[in-house]
Amino acid sequence: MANESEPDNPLPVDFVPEGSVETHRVSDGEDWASVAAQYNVKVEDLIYFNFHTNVPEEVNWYLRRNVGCNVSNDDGLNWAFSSSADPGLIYIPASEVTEKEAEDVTPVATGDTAANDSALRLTFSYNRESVTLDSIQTLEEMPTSESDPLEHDSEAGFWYELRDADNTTLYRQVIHNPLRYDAEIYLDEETIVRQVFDDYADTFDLLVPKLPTATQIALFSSPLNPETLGEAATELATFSLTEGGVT
Amino acid sequence: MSARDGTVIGTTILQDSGKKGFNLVIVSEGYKRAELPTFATDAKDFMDKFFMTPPFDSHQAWFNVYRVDVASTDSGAKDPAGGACGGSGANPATYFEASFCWNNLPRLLGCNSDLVRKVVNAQVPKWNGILVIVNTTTFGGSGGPVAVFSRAAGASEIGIHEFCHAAFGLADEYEYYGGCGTGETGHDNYTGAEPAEPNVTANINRNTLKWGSFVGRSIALPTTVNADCTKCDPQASPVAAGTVGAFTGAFYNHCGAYRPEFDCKMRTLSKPLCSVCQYRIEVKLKPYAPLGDFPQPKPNTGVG
Repeated sequence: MANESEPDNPLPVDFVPEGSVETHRVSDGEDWASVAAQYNVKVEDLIYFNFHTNVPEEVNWYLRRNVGCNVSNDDGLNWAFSSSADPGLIYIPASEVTEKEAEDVTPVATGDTAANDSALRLTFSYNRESVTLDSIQTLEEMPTSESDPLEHDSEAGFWYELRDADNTTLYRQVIHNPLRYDAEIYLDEETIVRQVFDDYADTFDLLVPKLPTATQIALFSSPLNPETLGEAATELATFSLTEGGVT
Repeated sequence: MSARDGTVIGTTILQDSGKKGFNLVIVSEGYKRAELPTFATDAKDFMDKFFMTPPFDSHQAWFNVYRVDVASTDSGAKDPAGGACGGSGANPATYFEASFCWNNLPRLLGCNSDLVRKVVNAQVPKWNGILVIVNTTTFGGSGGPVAVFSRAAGASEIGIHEFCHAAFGLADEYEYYGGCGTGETGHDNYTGAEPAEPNVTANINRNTLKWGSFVGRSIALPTTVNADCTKCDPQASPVAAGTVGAFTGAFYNHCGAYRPEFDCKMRTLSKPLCSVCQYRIEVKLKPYAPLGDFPQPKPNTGVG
């Protein structure tokens, strides 16, 4: 028996998610990842769409009860898709691309990136006073990660945004702060502590998608101070991607 | 000038998964030319460890791995004795100037990351992540644009931890800044904005928690409460390892900020990455997956 847990308020055994665009009959050799890729949806989104949970034990419970999975490929830890599952049906949500096309929204980075698959490596230098964009290198046939959500509330941390000429954000990536004003000190395998540098100046790179309409990159950061690192990030600097200078 | 203190020998492909893959580059520092076979073994050992670490174990075919051999004039790393450093005084001439007490911080092992990236730009222009192995058996390492770690037992975990910062934007999940028991102030209660990173939060509303879909309905939120916010929480986990909830203490604060699991490699080097961190990594790696090649079910994930 796979690791299972019955949810508190389980969905009906014949639950069909609202908005399902297709019914998929599972078969031998498939798994969540292969089905998700087939329909251009995220694995976790596909699971949640079907079962309203991503908790592994609850997913296993639904796989047995609702999908009728009856084989395991990992010594019984998880149920696996197979042709013998009865009824063996999972439901497919609308893909991101389909939704985007249907709503005719402003093109976002994920779509542009998929079509383009080229990247820019931006090299910056910084010190206590300023950040400078030193160079832009184009890398053809270089994939980049999909965008983080463009819509968000006030947040602490560091991220960058690619924007078009109208200042519309096309792509956003949350990253660990590359402006190193402190460091993790590793005392042993169990103990990490942090200390602040007396002074700092260094360089860093960002690998960003080469978007046809992106003209600038904006860097956002919370204060570089351990006592105030929770303050909401503000725009630190904006650089032209066409001229290599501060806009 | 350190670039005179050795020679760039060349690059070897340790794993070739095709041109679309995520390009991981392992660089030698402080190995003399005659010691490069040792580096080859160290790089292979690291690669094997990396691909035994979930979720990378399920996505090995998404990576290309390169080894860049750089011979140094001398072996090891600098270890300044003066001032607060208190090291051995070793001063080997190495290509990337690796040194303990980097930036005047005792125990911090760093190197000239700018020079590392210039060398790698020439050797593997489409690099995604760089790790530097320093030929010393003293435990240490550092992060930033390249991950640096020594040959000491367990130090490769530093490389993985720092790689997860640099490549996937994961936050630290430990609940202190200068260390538990140091009496530090200013880290008792996080009152700031919601952290942008995916694996720490100040919001434990079940309906809006950023990793809420991973949390079972029977799991209490918060899952642990620190009884004394002036200190790190000493309690053991009240739930089984791997349970996702909202555990008090994260993002350098004893209270007010929460982590997804009781432990995680972003909190303790020797532990596995938590489920939420693994999910973030998989999302960010997806564009590097070869068509038609998808991960097999992972133990106890319920996704297969």
